Amino acid sequence: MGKIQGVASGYDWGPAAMVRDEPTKPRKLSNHIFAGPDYSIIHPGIFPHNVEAAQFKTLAEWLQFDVKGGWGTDAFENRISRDYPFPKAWASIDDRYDGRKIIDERLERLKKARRLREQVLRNGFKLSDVRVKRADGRGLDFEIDVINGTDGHSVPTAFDAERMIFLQVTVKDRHGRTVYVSGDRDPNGDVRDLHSLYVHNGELPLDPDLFTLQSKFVIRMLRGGEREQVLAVNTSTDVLPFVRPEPRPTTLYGRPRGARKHKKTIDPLMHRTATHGVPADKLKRGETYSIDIKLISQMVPVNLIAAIQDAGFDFGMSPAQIAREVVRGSSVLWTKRTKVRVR
Amino acid sequence: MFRGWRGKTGLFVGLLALGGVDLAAAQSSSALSDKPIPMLTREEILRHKKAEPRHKPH
Repeated sequence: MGKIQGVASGYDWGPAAMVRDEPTKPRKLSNHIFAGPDYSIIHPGIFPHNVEAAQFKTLAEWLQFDVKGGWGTDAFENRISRDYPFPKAWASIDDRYDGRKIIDERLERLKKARRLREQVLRNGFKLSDVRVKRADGRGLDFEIDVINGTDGHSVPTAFDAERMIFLQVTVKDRHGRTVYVSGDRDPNGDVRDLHSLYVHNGELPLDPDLFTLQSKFVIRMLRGGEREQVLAVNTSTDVLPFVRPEPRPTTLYGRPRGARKHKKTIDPLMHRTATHGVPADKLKRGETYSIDIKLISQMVPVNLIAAIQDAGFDFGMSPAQIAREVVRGSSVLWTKRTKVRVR
Repeated sequence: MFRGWRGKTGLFVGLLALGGVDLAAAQSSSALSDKPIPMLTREEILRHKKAEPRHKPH
């Protein structure tokens, strides 16, 4: 990357390193920070990696450090009783203050990564203004374009079957009552597509208007036919789950023959249009409604966690905890708002 | 007790219904668990691989 993530903005110039306190010869400086779209969901004492932190405590001990509880801050330390049940590794107040210093540095780095991540994503995705097509007794129809802001490649790119880029659309009346919503989340944090556990189990309805740029894996079944799956693994519909190995050389065909992707990405400088409609029976003539549209980026869908959970998770994390962190790390890239009066 | 086909059928249907209720209860939760799931160990993965043949005869 150059000076600005996601834009041809030229490069910085200067020494690339300091060797024995001497700067090296000035040269073009390219930025190799990969700030996103992924983000860390584990304990900040463990990631970002830090030599000092690794020497100070073990991974298991860092996992015991309660960051949100405020350990190592004056506000926490001044109000606790002497017999507060700290684990042995963090029984010393000096250790907790030293630990907090390391944590604060890590949190600053994570904040910087988030700023750069949002910079590259905001340069990669653009949102048009909302276009109202109808607002009368027959309903409220509107549309918006999601635009690829780059001429280099499609967006989302690479790992596009796991990238959540979706629109959250809410229409409210002047009293703040929601009359229409799309792109909302189920209790796990998933949007209401076919992969949501709540939709799959019939506990929540499908979101028929959902606009998402997540490509979906389409898997060929044992006796013909295909279906959408969270993971691109061919399985036989048999009483004994069985992972079938690929018998054909993927390098010659260019792709595994038993699986493909339903591509939903946007080509360079192109756009996709999201259309939404509120039925007339949800509206009142003469009423003014607010339309709120958010373009949200999230590194992976929550249903991926459910699909892979049988192998277990490191750092003592539960599937629900991982899901909460994944949702917490998501970013609102753009917001568009407008008001419309229904005639 | 449970004489005749009606009694036996009734018992069978009753047990089936109870089983069905249990099954429904077990599958009703869509919420992800808040209980940590430890990673599979190397031994567990190897044991799993040995238990399943690489090529299943059809």
